[in-house]
Amino acid sequence: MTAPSPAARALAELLQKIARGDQPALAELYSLTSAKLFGVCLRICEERSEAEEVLQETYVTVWRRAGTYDPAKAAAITWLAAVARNKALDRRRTGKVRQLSAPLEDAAMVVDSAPSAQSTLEDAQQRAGLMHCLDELDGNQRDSIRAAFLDGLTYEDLAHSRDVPLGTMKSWIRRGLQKLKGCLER
Amino acid sequence: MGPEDHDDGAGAPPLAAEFVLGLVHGEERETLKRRAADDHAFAAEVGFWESRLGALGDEIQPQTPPAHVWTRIQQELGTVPVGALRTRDRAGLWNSLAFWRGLSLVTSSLAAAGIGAVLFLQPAAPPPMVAVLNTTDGRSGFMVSVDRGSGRVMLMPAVPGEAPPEHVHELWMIGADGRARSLGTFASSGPVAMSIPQGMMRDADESSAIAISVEPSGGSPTGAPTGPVVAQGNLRSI
Repeated sequence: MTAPSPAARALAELLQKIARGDQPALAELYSLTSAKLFGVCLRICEERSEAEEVLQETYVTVWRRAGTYDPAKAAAITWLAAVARNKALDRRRTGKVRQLSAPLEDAAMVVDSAPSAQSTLEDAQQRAGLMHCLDELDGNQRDSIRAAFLDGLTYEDLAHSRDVPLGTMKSWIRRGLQKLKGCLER
Repeated sequence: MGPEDHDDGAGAPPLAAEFVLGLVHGEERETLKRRAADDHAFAAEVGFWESRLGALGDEIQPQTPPAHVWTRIQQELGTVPVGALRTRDRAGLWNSLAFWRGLSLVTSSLAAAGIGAVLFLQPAAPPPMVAVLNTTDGRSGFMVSVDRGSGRVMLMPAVPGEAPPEHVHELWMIGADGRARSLGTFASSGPVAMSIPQGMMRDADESSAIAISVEPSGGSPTGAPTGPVVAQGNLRSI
């Protein structure tokens, strides 16, 4: 592993303190990361009030589960965002078709977007690797995978948004994921 | 799963990635979640996708959440400054602070004084820290609260007790380095308020201990504890 940036290391250290019950560390972590995680929640939740509840649940979970964070596996901000995403995904209502927050055509890939402040060098390498591998996919595969991640859309939502049969959407994404996995593991 | 679930032979569905992306929901999602908890290989695959796809989140714009979210988090965890709670919530807060429970020797009036010190903190101040100082026979002898914002220290004896004649009690903070630094002397058997310098405040953390020793009038002549230690305990955040 390459050395994480000081900011990323600081987040990982805060999580270690939180695992030991250090409440000021939780307050500091919240001040550093809550805007990012709220952004994640707002993309997936339909109501702002729901996103606020998910954000609350996220930090309560972080307080209780910080000890399960393994810095060897992911950057702290990635882990935190995954906790928030999972909480938000759990809230989606079964059977309700959701829409993209923006048309797929407008959501052009920002390949060279500036890394966030908490990014690690390793993150930068992973990001570059992911972007490279996504570039190898067909447009339909790539756009659908991105929309699923960013907006928390299901196969049904995506099929509806793109006006294609469900089987077609599943085929796009599954083939895309297999190709992506092969590329990421190279 | 219906017949439309079958795609045109792309192989086994990449279930871990589907779970991470949130492509399936309801009962299917719950099933995969249970599998991630029980099946190490599957959990490792979920971890792979979470870390690799995480970079997609870079383009999500940060949005500042409203202030009440943090207040609610503190309420749920029982760490909110008491002043932010309605009166009827205070008993709940009191009970949620596990270590306060052992403080049976503290009289209700002294306990109220302790809560009072927390009550008037500004919301922006760092959370207060407290220590229960046990006497050499294992009983709760003193409660200390440290407001790291103002540097104010409140000391409350659980039972009235005075230093021997021509002696005083001296309060010490012992850092992670093992060095004891004096916070001041006191003779009173009631609650005592002291101020400690900001420089020392910065060192107050959960690796610090607080102790009380018996010293000659005027305090320790050496700058380190010289007399018997009558009570000590670790500093904890609340």
